[in-house]
Amino acid sequence: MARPRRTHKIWWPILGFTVGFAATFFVFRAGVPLPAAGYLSLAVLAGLDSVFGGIRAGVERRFQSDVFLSGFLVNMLLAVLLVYLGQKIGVPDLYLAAVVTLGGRMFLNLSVIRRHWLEKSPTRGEK
Amino acid sequence: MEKRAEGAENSSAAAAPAAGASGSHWIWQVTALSVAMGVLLALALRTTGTLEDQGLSARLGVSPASLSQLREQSRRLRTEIKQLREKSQEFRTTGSDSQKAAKLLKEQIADYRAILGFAAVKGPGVKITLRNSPKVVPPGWDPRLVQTNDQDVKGLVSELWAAGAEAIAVAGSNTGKFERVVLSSVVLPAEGGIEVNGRVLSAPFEIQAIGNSKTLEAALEMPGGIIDNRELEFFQMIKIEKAQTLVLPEYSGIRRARGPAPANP
Repeated sequence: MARPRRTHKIWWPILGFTVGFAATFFVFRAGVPLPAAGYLSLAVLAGLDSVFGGIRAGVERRFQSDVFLSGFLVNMLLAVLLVYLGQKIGVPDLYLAAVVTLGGRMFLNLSVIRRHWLEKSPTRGEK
Repeated sequence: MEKRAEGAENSSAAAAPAAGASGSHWIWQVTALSVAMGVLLALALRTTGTLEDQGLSARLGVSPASLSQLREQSRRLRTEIKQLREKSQEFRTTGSDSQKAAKLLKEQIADYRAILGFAAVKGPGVKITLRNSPKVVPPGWDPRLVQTNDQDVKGLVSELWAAGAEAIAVAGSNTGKFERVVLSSVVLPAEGGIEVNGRVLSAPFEIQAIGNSKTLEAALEMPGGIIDNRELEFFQMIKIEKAQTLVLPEYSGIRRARGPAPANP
């Protein structure tokens, strides 16, 4: 068995991210109304966590669309809710709970993905 | 926590139609979401970039939205100032119609004379009567607490200027004439009362000020002012009346022959 095709597919999300980023940052040069900036940052974090979770599920061959999409939506909603609630009840750092959790999960998923990628690589000398 | 989630997902994996058995469908969904995330991240960076350009919002304790609003306002006002300065410069240098120019100059001079106190002025304002307290002083009290003095007059005049008074004049009961308060006027203590513009005035005093009567009265009544600190109202030493038309005379003193040299010709 030569190189498994699955490893190449990893590049698609990265490419997609880069394209989306470049198009908005350089071409459209769009911003959002200033009050939304705080929420936006956390929404990005939640979304990225879902992306890495999705990639991990994919390489582990247990990906499910419904879990993926619902996870993305719910995480984003919860993150935004934490920011908003935190400001309302006087615990402005409440969003940190989301930051720590999502960030931690991102690292965890990334390490799993990395291990899968390296194990599938022909240089590992297996299969 | 991750393992339990895995178990739950695996048990429903058989039922899910999009289960990644072939392993290729998931990549497109993830890619689609990645594109969206790229867009969002760019938006966030663009907005934060705007905030950083402004640089000060967190440090000043002002919300970024109002900070950018204030900057915009400040920019617009600066442009307006520049335009007005250019216009007035134009006024001064061009002599298109000599008659029109002369008229404008006369109007300007009249304005300045009125403001500085060298011309009589009239307008709405407030009348303030200041007197010694009619209340009997209990023994052991400092009698000066209930007597009006130059500090009272000084404080009131100061507060009136601060409140936007356009002209102020002071009179004593010994003379019927009002002394116009000009830039160089001072209120000094004197034998029998106060000295303004070289004239001795005795209590009760009357101060008249031209300006927005509501604003002037409100400013005088503000806590921390002379009325509050000296308890002038409690001791019934002061009375403030609004007036529709006041006429203040011109400065009675000798005008200096020439003023200081202007820095910019």
